[in-house]
Amino acid sequence: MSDRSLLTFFDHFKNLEWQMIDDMLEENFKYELHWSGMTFDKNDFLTLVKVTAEEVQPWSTNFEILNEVQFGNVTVIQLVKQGPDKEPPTFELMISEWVGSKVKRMSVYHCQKIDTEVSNEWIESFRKD
Amino acid sequence: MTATELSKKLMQLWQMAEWDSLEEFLSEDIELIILGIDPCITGKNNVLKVLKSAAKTSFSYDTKINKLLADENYAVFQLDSNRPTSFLKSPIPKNWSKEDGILREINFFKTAILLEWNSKKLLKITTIDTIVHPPEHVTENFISQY
Repeated sequence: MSDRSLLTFFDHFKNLEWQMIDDMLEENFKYELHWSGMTFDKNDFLTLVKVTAEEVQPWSTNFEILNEVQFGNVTVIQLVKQGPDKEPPTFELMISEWVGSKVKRMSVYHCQKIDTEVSNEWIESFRKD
Repeated sequence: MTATELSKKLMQLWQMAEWDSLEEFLSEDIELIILGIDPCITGKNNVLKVLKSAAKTSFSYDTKINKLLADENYAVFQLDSNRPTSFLKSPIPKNWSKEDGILREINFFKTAILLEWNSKKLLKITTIDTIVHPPEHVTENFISQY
């Protein structure tokens, strides 16, 4: 695993190891949670993930990493999170920028999984044209 | 040309709908992965059909490239735009219907596009499109939980 892999970051998240996550983040770290239009600094981010995982949405630690790409000072990771009850899974793409061995920015995009039948019909419509 | 230059050129051609020139950048077995849509779309002709069908929708007049990060083989674009519907006009979640108040006439989207290059040919495009919810929705569905 290279120095700029985020796989360990997500292992720490699943294991609720907040100090280990804290150690990976630069002091001026910014977390952009795009769907909310909000940007969090390091302290607010740590509070957010802790409260989310331990109290508000414990299912948020139930995810699978689909792909990780590293280039330059960037790591792009794709993951899928299972939703609560019968809600569809959510896909996330996280673009992380590093300074040395610390993460300075995480930019998080997310979208819902579309019903497979609906997806198939849409893709099939292009094959017929 | 570096991946940065190739990616800038590709994005320019895509936005200007110059399909003949754009096609030259695509590998024969290119994959288009739209996160949330399963399966992925493969092959130059199929991918081109999808890009063409949604060119005007995907890039609105005010689409802004916020950031481009790239090196030899990869590039990732981060875009902002105001649109009536999703990037590439792909299907939207059921609960986005106007009655539920999520999808409006015009919506603010943030979009990431990851490009994977090899020998000056594009092997893979991965896109994800995120609707930025209005503050009242965020207050109701997010902040109130904490």
